[in-house]
Amino acid sequence: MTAGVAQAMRQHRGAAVGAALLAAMALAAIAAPLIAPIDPQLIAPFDRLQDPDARYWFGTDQIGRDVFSRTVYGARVSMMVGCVVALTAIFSGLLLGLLAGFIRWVDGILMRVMDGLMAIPSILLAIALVAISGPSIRSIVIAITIAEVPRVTRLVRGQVIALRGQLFIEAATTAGTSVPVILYRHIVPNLLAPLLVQASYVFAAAVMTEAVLSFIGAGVPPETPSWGNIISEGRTVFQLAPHIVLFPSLVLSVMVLSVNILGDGLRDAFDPRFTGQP
Amino acid sequence: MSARQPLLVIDHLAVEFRGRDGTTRAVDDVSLTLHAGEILALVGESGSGKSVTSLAALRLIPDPPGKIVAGTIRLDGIDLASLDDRALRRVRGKDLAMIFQDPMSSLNPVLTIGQQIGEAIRLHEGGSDEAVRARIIEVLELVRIPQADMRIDQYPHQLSGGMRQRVMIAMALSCGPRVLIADEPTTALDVTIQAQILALLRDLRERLGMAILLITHDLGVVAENADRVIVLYGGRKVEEGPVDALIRNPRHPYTRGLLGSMPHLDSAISDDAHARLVEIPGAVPHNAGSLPGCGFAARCPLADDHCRTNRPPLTAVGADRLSACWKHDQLAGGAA
Amino acid sequence: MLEYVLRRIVATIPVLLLVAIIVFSLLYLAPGDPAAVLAGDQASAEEIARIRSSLGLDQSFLQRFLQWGGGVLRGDLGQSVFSGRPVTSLIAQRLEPTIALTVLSLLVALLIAIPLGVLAAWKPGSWLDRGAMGFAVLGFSVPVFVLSYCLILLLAVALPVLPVQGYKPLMDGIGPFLRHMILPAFALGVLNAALIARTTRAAMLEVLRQDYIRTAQAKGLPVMRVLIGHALKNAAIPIVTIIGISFAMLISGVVVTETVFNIPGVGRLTVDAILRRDYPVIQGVILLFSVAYVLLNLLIDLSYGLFDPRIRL
Repeated sequence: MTAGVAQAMRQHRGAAVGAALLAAMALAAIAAPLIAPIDPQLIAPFDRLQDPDARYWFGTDQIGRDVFSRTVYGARVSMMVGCVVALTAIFSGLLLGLLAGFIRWVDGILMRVMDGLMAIPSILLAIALVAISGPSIRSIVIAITIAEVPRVTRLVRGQVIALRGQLFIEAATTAGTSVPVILYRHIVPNLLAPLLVQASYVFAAAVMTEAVLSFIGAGVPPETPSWGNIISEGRTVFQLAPHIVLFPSLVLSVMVLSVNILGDGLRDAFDPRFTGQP
Repeated sequence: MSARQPLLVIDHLAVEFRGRDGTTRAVDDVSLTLHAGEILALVGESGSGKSVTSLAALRLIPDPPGKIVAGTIRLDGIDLASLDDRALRRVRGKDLAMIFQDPMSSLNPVLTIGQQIGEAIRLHEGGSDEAVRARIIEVLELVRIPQADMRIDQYPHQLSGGMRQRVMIAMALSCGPRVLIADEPTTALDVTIQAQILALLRDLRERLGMAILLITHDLGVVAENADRVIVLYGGRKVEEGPVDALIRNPRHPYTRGLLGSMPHLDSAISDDAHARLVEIPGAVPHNAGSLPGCGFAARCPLADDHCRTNRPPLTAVGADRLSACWKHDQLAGGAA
Repeated sequence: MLEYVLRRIVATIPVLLLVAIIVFSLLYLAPGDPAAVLAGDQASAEEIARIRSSLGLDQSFLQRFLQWGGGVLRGDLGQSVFSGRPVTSLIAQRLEPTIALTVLSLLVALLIAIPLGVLAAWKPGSWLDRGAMGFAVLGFSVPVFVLSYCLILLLAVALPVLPVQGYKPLMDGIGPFLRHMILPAFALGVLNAALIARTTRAAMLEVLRQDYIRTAQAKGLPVMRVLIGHALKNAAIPIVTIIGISFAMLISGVVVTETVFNIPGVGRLTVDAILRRDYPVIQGVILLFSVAYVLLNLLIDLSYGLFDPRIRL
């Protein structure tokens, strides 16, 4: 497992670069108050729509707030949403997938519900969930998690059923080993690698979805500086001051790209079938 | 050898494959000559280079990782290496056609028999839709496929294994090739179908005057069907000669091993057409071609230190016969 | 064949039913009291209660679901809380730009993805392959509004050859219609192409290893005939399957793209409805898109037989 991660870093320069960029952004998010030169909420009425310069690296928005500082703080929202959604989606998916994989009647009901959820495009599902629970980071996290869980559940269930069929599990069962022990010894270790890869993709999807939701006004409350919000606010003055949209867009793309490259590298390192493919 | 003009001449062919652990020479210094109306068998175990040789003849070696590094292939005096892609494509399927081992995987599952045969005809001969269709039915009948006008619109999965191989042959014959390369044409088929397909090939050779390069690991098939034989081992030619003489009196220990006949060589193999070949102990060494001595030495009962350090040259050992063995004299005159 | 079609159709019914239950639950769980909204600020408690019972809001979940479901089957998706107009006609009005954007961007995606995937698989490891796969990762990572704004900046602001935003219906002529559609369709299509290109490449790599490809080459067929006539047809099933799956991404993209380019389509309707908390409209749109998604994937399932004769049994 750890060896696989290390191998991914060594074999795929992209994966290492992705991991490094992601780590840098995580640090920036944590240390936002130290890095951001100006209070992200500070309104400077005389410095509206300033182009990027030495004082305002990313320029200012239409009420004179510093776009760089807001972008740095926006990293907090994205990082938080990405991490929390990845963790909750993976753990709920793992739990549900294990239940479906081991208990027949649960499988029938659960997988039908998952089919139904997967039939609704995930952004729309998230929009609907945020619409009924009100715009807050918490409801965003819950909404994106619900949209991502079916895929993880399917993955886990598929792996469990495949692993259960394999001989070593049968041998373990006949030897009188209890189900929790089988889970702990055989199933979960085999699931770690695919789940780690999946977690990176869920993280990327969550960051992207949060930005889209905020962009269309179904995301975090407008007073919170999130990348989607900054871009959405800059939308109306895009032709006048494109920097408000472009800088957070660039940072957002780089973050999602880093996570995706990292995920691809991990996948290649864990799955010998993909080895050698770029 | 006769004074006839040879059709296909391969001279000093060498093919290499680049892999993770270095380059492997799959074919090393192999030469062969094929005359019109002749059936020449290329014999060897898997890894002997027989299939690679045949693919090289059509320049179908996947590159990368494979590459023809030396030698010439001439069809009717024309060097195939000198042809550009377009000219080469005019030769493939037209003058030089090939049938492959597994007729199920070698036919495209999503195209009908007629589409697959027809596209070669359209490509090389042209003609109206009706003329092409008539020609397809004609070749299907040539390879004795019943109800050809119905089969033409069927898909490969609707046919039996033997029927599929007949379709492969029909496809190869559709443009009247002068040389047919048959790479293990019967290996994937059961015994009675094998005999039918081989009889068909012999018959087509008679009627159409084609030359056939028959690639097989089965000396029983060779004894019954070929005129001449070349035995390959580890990518090198180890023995060559007319089929009867070579089988009656092999002059290379590997050929003997293939015949599984060290003790009673004279019980002619033709008595038992499908005589089981006795396993030769060991396997073809991966690096047989790069060993300093004889590639077969490690598995040879006759090998001595000289064999292991000096590579035996191909030597004439009688009328039209060659052997690459230091001890071919010891093998002269039947049982050792 | 007929049995296969029927079985597939029957299998989608429970999925559609589940989608309906989920979508209905969303409205059921929505905060606020539609009766109170309809009754207005001055209404008394009795009045609200009367409206509530006239709307059937005092009934059980199941009763209300059956009533709503019956309406849906008759094409009645309820009324907008904001404008009071039927949701069905609100959607119908906005359908043309959305269908146009979807179809055009899918077209752009296919025109980019299929050749790219085929050529990448033909020469794996080449600069073309690396470029194509780099493009694919980038396509997964760049949100559609980011690419949209970059394109606007480039082709509408810096180099003003195309309109910045807006929509001209087909009725106004094909020229203006296309001029307004190029940027949004391209932005959405390029990003959607990433997934399709990646799948095309993987499917083609698998097919190009097969023996029948060698047979086709041995016949003397030109490379393009081998790649398209023999290989692509065998790779078609995974490719059309991913097109179906990517339709979900396309829908999300449509909602965003319509916002960026100010296109008065169903996506824009959704965003406005979110801002106004107009739940019946949100619900209707989600139901429509989800049903379209399920039905498209059913059609794709049924199309497998066209690509592989072995499935026609």
